[in-house]
Amino acid sequence: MDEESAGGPGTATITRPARVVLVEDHPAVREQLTALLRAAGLDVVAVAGDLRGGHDAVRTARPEVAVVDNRLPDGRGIDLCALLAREAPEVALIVHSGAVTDAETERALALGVAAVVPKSLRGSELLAAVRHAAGRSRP
Amino acid sequence: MLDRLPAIVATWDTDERCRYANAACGRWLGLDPAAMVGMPLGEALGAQLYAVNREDIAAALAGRPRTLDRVVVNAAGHRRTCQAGYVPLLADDGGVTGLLVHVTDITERLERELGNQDALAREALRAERHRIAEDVHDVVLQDLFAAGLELRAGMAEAPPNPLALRALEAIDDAVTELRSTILAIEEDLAGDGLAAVLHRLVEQAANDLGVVPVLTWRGRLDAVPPALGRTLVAVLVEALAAVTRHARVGRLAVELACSPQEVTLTVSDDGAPGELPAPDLVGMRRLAGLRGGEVSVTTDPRGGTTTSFRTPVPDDATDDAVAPTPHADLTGLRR
Repeated sequence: MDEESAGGPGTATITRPARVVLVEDHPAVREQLTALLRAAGLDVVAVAGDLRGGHDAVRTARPEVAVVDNRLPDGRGIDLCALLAREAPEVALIVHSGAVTDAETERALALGVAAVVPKSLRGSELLAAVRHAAGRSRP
Repeated sequence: MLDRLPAIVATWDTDERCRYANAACGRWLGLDPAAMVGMPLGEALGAQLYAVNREDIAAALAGRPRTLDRVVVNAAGHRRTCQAGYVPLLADDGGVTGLLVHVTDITERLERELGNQDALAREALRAERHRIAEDVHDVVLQDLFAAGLELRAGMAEAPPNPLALRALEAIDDAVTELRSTILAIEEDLAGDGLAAVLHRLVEQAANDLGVVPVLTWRGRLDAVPPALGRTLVAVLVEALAAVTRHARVGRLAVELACSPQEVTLTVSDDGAPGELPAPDLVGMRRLAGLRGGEVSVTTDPRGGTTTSFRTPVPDDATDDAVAPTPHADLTGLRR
């Protein structure tokens, strides 16, 4: 996995790792995805296991990126994204789901969600989406 | 982790010897999963179940994945409807090293579908299918995904083990396949229940014959245009009626294979010729003629008949031009 660039030799600036909130209800998936994101040099500042917790975490932590599972115990991740798109428009949103229908994907993208990423053990698609979204959300 | 899955997961090598079986697999077969390792597939499944699955096992070991729904009897003697997948395990050079089998019991879902008689029940069914999709996602897919992530994390700390790598790929493939299954369930909420009608017809015939049927369907039944679905029902009625004329029937197998291009319905039994002459399948042949399909009947001198109806899948918009005129009165079947 690539480390987040910390600037080339001789440069004075240090790039701060992108700050990420992860909303995922399955404890083992949450733990492993957190490790995956951190190993890729991303700063996972908060995790949550449901829609309500995710809402609180994003509003408090104000990350660059929120990775949201679509199927949560208390609602759809896409509904959380709809809320966050209004309340925290500076946060780039990624829907990460085992199964998301075409209609849900269409709705998510219409809400301004940066990417809809299917769950895959390869992980590269999620990391690419987070990095891309982090780049876009920064000034 | 895989032992906590309600779904059966097992892997077999190219010699058809068990490499791994989870707890659900052991419960299903009435065997100790640890003792299954090294056991031949035929011994684990038993002769009858092995015979039914042999073609799919061979396909997977030849590199061709198979997915299907099938009615079988488990070790406890209960008739269960299962959604099964046979996934080839591939080496880095693309060679097949074995197969992964995963089976999900969908009996309850199907039983509810069979009870679907009116609009209210259909709404309940839609809600139930939605719940099942949620369950498959939240329990099966998430647990499998977590197991894969943990396996992946464990491999990062040591030189990758080729077996573990293959298992990881197989799990990833299974996650992808489960995703398709969930989406198929969710996006097929307005399905016309063709599977349920076929299932009921086969169950009725099997009860009349006193046998346990093997019903298999492959591909997407919901993609079958409604008029062709009615044709298939009519064909099945006629084929099953022919089977009931046979003597000493101990085995009845019905398979419906659907591809975007064509549909094949096959009914086979092991009975001997009965007192009544074999029917000439007039209705079936006429429907095949109208649709540009064909009927084939093969008989085994030792006993047993296989009747196959194959037809192209028409453009749905024009399909009503070939209105089926069933050989039997179907109204009585929609109890």
